[in-house]
Amino acid sequence: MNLFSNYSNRELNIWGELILNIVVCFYFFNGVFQLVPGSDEYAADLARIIIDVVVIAVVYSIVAFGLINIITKAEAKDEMDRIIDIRSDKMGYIAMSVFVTLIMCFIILTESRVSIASIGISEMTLIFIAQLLLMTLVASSTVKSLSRLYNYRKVM
Amino acid sequence: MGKPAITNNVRRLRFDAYEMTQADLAAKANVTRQTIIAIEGGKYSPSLELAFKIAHAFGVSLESVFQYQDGE
Repeated sequence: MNLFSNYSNRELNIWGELILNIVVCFYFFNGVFQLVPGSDEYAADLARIIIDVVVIAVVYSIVAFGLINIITKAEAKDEMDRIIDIRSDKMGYIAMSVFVTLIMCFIILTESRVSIASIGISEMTLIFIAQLLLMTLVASSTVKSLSRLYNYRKVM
Repeated sequence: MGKPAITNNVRRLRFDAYEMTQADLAAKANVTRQTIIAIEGGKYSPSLELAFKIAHAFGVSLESVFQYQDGE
């Protein structure tokens, strides 16, 4: 308990959210990089990873955020919290824009038959593009959490 | 980093108000203690509404709590 006595409920929630994002990021990226684009089980394996991620996120949220609210007193957001949220949402949006732009460049270059990494034009399927967009969502969410923690620590 | 444009006397006013705690002031201004810590440390400039609430909590005018330092 003493370990958390120097942390506010808000900061612990931000840490909890960041850890969740990193865990999800690690699990998701680790899983999708092992998939073989174009294989028969590709869509089913991707769906299994997504379901696993959702289950992990739900169980973690119930346990971690429940514990945080037991250890520390829950506080309503005030104006400073909302400003921090706005700033971190902005960073998440910028990160997502950058990632989506990179994906679009990647698709255009691949369609133009310019060789990028080991991905060939035959592997640029709709499900692969969906996987890239999901990775973008996970990565931008992690950027948002990191930004939230940075902005919170900056004013403390 | 230069000096903040808006300075405040929150720490001194708390001391004058029989060592009012940050938690007490936070409760009166309806914000979290972390926000009071940030304002007191000059790391966060409150909205006009919150500034008035803090001044009201001490029973003084806004200028007695917050001062604007013209940087020019």
